[in-house]
Amino acid sequence: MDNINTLRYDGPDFLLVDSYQSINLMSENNGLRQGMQIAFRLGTELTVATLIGALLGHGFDKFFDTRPWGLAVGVILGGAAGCLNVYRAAMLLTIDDDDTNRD
Amino acid sequence: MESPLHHFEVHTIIPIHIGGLDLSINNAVVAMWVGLAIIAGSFMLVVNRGVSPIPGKLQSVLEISLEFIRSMVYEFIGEDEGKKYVPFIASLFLFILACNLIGLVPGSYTITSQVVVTGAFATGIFIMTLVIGFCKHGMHFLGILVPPGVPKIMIPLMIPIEIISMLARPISLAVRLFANMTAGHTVLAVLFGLALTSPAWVSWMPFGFTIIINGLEIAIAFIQAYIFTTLTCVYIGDVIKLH
Repeated sequence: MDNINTLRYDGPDFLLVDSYQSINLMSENNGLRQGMQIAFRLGTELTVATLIGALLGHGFDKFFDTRPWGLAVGVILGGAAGCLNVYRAAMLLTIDDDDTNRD
Repeated sequence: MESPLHHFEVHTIIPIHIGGLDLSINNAVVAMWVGLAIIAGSFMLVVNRGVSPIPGKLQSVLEISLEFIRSMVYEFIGEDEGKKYVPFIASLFLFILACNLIGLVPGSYTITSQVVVTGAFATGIFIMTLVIGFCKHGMHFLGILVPPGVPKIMIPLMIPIEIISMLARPISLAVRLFANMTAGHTVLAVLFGLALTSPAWVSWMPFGFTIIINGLEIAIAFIQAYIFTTLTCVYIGDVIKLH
């Protein structure tokens, strides 16, 4: 507890100012971070969901011997799931954006 | 000339085989230990030195990162519920960040470029969200498969779509981190290979690009760790709020 009571700062003053500035910088949704986040996130969502749909459809086909209907339906449902994921992600990002503009 | 994918290879350092299981210590394990040691060591150093009200350099950095993670958790999960998840999310973020950054040191190993590592993280998180959902809402948790406001006639169509969209979450989480890390490091290796093999009058160009892309990779290391943890928070928030 002694350590908490001693007001000791051995670093230079500008670091103190810098650290608070960095908190502000990191809390703000700055353009580059926001843009990269959208690009990286939306890019994979659609692809992965379609692939999962196709795989599940293929598995269904193998199990119930319904080739090629399982795969066909799986790809369509996977694509729909991908669109839903992208839509949800985009809505979340739009809300963030609105909040930033209001500030 | 080495293959640009050479630095993703796993080499056994200390072979350990117990009951048919390969528990050997390899370069990936060592890199993971280094990542853990840096994170745990820096926190222990600050705590052992005494947490001062006016922070030193290291304490400032750690406090900023924890403040940042806490605000992120509160934003996506909510302040009351989010409190208990801050330590988990903070460990996840700092560990992934440390692993990503260690990979940028020449001669080291990028652990996050292995899909088995990112896949294990994502599967763990997926199972965790399911457990949280069932513990919190019981069988009502299955209601997450039917979005609110869907007409009854659409429910048989929506359930498979929602199941696929839920299963896609951990896979996209794992693939995103793994693919970005692998692609970035392969590009670096290819460019550096070009710089070494091309004649002097042209080799400055790929070498310059290597430096620029190295800078970009540092940014990507932060962004990928951030996206991974943000999405973890979003998924946990989703199962807690249930729409």
